[in-house]
Amino acid sequence: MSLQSWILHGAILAASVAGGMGCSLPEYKLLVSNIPEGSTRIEAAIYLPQSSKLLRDQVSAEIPAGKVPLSVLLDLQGTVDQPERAVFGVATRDASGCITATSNTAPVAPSQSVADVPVRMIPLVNPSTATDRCNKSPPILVDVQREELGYFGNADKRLLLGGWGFVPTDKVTIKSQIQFSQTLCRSQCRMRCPDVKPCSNSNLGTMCQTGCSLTGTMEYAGPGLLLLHLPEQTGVQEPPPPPPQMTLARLDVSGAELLGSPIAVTVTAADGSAVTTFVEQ
Amino acid sequence: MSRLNALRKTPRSSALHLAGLLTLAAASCGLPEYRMLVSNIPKDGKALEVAAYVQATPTSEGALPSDRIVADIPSGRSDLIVSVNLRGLYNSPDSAVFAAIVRDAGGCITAVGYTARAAPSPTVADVELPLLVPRFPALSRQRCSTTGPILLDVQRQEQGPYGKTDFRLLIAGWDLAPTDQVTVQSQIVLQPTSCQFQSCTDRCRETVSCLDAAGGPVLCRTGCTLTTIAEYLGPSRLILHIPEADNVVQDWAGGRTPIRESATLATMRGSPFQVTILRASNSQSSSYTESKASP
Repeated sequence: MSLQSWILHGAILAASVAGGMGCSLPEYKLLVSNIPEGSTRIEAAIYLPQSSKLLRDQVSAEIPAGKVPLSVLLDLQGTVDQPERAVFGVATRDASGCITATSNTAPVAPSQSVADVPVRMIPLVNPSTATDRCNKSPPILVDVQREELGYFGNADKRLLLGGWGFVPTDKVTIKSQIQFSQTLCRSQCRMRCPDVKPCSNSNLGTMCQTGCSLTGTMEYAGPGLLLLHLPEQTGVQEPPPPPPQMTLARLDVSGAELLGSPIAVTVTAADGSAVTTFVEQ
Repeated sequence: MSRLNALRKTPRSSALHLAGLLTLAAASCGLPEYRMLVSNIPKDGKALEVAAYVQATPTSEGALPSDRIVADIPSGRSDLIVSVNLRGLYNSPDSAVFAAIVRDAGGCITAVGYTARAAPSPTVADVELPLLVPRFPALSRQRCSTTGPILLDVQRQEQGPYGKTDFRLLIAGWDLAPTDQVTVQSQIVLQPTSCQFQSCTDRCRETVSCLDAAGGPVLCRTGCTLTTIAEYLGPSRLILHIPEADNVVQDWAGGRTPIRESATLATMRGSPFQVTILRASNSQSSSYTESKASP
């Protein structure tokens, strides 16, 4: 299986073709814009949502110095049996191999000639929080955005997970970074919030319970984007202890409050061979 | 909030007509500037009302025309075409926003809609005006009123990275004006121990009976006022931005005593919001309290 690709700059097509183009037209022309300065390499991957197929062949090419925006020509003929809509994931890396921006398109229909696909790169807002951005092997999570739309109590809440090299079989787990005093968080609470970290607020004590598990449903959008739908979350409760310790308060924290704290998101390859984590700051 | 440079009444009745089976008034000369396709008219719809809003621009004043199209809806129609001509009015605005409602036989609003900002055309500018049926009509107590402001629907929207999201309420209503005063309160219930001092009680002025941690009856605080930034989009559309940073309720005794956070936007969002809109000129108000929607 081979995927023919050509990387060009500007709109100069014929003069810059690298590699044999054959007789057929390329099916897609990615028009990649908003590439951050310092980016030296571009990678692109293709997902076919109708057949749920992620193409193994990927584009990886040097970005000619100072030659932006880029045009990337992709010919899927011979790679897929029948033309179908395609999603394109794109990442750019700097000279150190660290991701500088990612993007993921909506499904694009093939064209009789060439389908132009605008790809606007989304630069990393805060690269220091994307601790895995220099990883070579996927999955690599570099950004988490929150979205909500709807009525109180039934809004569609979701996390948009931006990154690179996502595959449909990846697993996502999320944990609230809310902290609880170990005095209040004793039994039920510790099962839900099993991690122990130094308290960020000294009023809570020295060490705190955290890492409270949350639930979500993953939707695969493409090699550069996962959507995690968040249903209404159950809260964390801890009844007051029996006498003579009744002076201790009851712990009752809502699901909304759990989501109100930063969330740690982990994407794991299905076979467990690779893990990437992003913690909201 | 969007501001109008001058609110003026329409100098003369604008040339408006409902195409199709209805005709209110023929366009005074030539083609109308705007032709709106009003769709999703509910089956019980008896009357259609359409309003316009001209946003202020560097080259033209804003205006909220006081005259409206009011017309009966022919039985069985699910869509209608409405033509509007603003030419010669409001300094020939370079764009306008249109809003519409449908009332049932009892005079109660059953659907509301709005257009995107649209520029006129030398011929005719076609504009989509799809109507939305409010999901919880009973929550809008003023929906049968003939005069505004009237709140009809409140939805929540959020977008962005943690701590810097743009959280906003999408308000649908009728006869909304840019000068109306809007307040939002959270129905969160705060234990008296976490809201004792003026910094909290001034912001959460209402009291409600509740139980303390030991199950004893106490008076809790609620009705915490949120800081909002209103974005007026037209007679039926308002967006209330609620910044996270401005919506932390502190409980502080003053001096060197520790400052405690009684509530943040994240916690207040866990309870319903009550939105109230007041028109100072006639003391008319409308309020809407969210109800928990079942999935």
